[in-house]
Amino acid sequence: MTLATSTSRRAVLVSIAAMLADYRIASAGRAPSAVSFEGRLEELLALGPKSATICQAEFCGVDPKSDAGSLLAELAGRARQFCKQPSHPRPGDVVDAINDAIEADFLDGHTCTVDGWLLSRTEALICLLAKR
Amino acid sequence: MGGNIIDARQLPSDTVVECDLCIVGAGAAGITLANEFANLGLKICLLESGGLNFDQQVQSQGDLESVGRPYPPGSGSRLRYFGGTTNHWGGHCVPLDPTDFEARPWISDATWPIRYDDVLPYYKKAVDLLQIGEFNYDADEIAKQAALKLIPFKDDHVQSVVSRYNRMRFGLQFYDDLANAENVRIFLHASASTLLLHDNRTAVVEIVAKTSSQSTLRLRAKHFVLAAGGIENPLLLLASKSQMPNGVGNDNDLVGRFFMDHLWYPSGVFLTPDGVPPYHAYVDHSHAAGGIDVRFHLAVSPQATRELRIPKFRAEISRVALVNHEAHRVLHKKWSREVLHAIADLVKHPLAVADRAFDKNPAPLIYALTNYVEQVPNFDSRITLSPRTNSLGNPLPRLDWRLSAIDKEGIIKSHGLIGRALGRAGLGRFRSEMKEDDGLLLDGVTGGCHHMGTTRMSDSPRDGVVDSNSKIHGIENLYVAGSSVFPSVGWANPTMTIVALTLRLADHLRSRFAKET
Repeated sequence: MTLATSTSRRAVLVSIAAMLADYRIASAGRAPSAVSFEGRLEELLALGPKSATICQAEFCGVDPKSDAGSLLAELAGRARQFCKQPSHPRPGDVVDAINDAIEADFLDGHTCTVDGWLLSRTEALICLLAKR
Repeated sequence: MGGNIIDARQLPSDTVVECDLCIVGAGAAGITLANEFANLGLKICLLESGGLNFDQQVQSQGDLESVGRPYPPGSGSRLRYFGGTTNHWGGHCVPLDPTDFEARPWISDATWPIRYDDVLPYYKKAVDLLQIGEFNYDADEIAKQAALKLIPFKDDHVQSVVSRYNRMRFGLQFYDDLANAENVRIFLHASASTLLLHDNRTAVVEIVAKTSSQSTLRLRAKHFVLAAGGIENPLLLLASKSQMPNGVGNDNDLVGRFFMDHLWYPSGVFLTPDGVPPYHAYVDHSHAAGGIDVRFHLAVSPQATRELRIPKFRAEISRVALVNHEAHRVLHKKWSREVLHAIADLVKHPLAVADRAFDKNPAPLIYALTNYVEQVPNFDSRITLSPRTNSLGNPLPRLDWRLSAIDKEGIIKSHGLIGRALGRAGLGRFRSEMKEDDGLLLDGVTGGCHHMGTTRMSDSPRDGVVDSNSKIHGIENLYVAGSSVFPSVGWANPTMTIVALTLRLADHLRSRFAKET
């Protein structure tokens, strides 16, 4: 592994970190609303790119040229099934759903190797979306 | 030295000693067997190539020539003095799994001719001899008794297993009993060099041993047992070719073949999220009932092994401190510290990684996995005779160690199971060190210095060297004790099975002697 790719991967994760920090602050105290699951997810991810530099790696066989819309659709599709209120999710519901999706990925073998680390496909999609 | 402890170097050359049972090798197997016959009336001779203490000159007689896959150099895993390699073993005592004895269609040549139930009574006796408490390997029960917390996996693909430990030095433990037994004579510095057969080639008449003083000692017995280890046992059979050109017991060219070791290597690391308690039960030795040392490990379950059609897999866990050598290697040659912290935060909570700046994060909990993996039998992995000789003029063993494609496949699939099991349970993320594109190189994988399989047990002489009683096929009074008889090896360290099978052999020999008298 070269230093350059290390830095790149670090940047991906840093960007997710920053994105989610922003998200946490932004979502604090919000009441349930009529925003859809995809909307919530998009809202969440939209906070990321301002600090995201990014990811050069291909994850889980996902075509890196995939447009953000299809990546988001896949991520939403994976997580939605675990959401308790998919039609009117609160921010915390989305977070819980993604965690459950990650657990399911490991159960079902929807995993990929990134620099030797075994990560779930859901985690990888988040990383990819962070650079869009 | 005196009484029945005899320095063979002091005897006149060509001294002939007659006995009922001649045992070659005073390691775990040889001493166990001699002890079983102590004070029973039969005349027992125990041959040891070394003395009572380590001697480098004697040790160098056990040099090994390696021509295949690189093998750990030196002969330290075959100590040549009274007590053998138990003089510095780790005391790891664990039985083979019942499924290790069963046929596995996806692994060739791995079937035992005996069942687990045939060995079970002797495992229970071995527990007493090894002084490791009771025969209980129920990880959950032992952890509960000892108030230890096991990793709460959410599936049954990966499981916790437990081993018992006692670094019993067989030489010290049994020295007094054997030295004081009226029917046992121990010949030190007597290196068995060749077997001489009866004219009909179906029985051994004599073992010729050499000493460093250029003398020879001739041992004549009703029965002979080779208990010299997984390399020296086939070596002696192959070197005994004055009457049989291919060596004794080697009509089917199987002596020395199927050499196996446990594949040992640091395989990777895993990080745990905050809030997951340290896995002390895996990292450190704990005390079970009776004050017995126990330690827990990870293993791929027999069920998952069967489903994936892979060899058996076990991993030992150790804590990696960021200041130690391994972490230094990891951090400075493999990954950047930043990536490590980033992954640690990802593990902590995939969507809440930004609570702390990276440079303020405490070091994450890192565990290293060191694997002990079953090597499957490989016909071409073998011991032969080197043209080189040691200082006694005996041929050195030549090892051509080879692995098989399924060895690597099993490791990679097992890593996947461990990574998934940890991830699914929210217990961490696993990083494998294995390269998948290096063919069979398996860079970094070496042997655990467990020499096995070279005189394998089988029902038919076409499939192995010894029968289910550990007697050499076609030779009526020559037996083998030790891990060279294992046709397959599982992941269990071999000593407990060596002792159990030796106790079983002792029963068989007692029965034979009883019939003969």
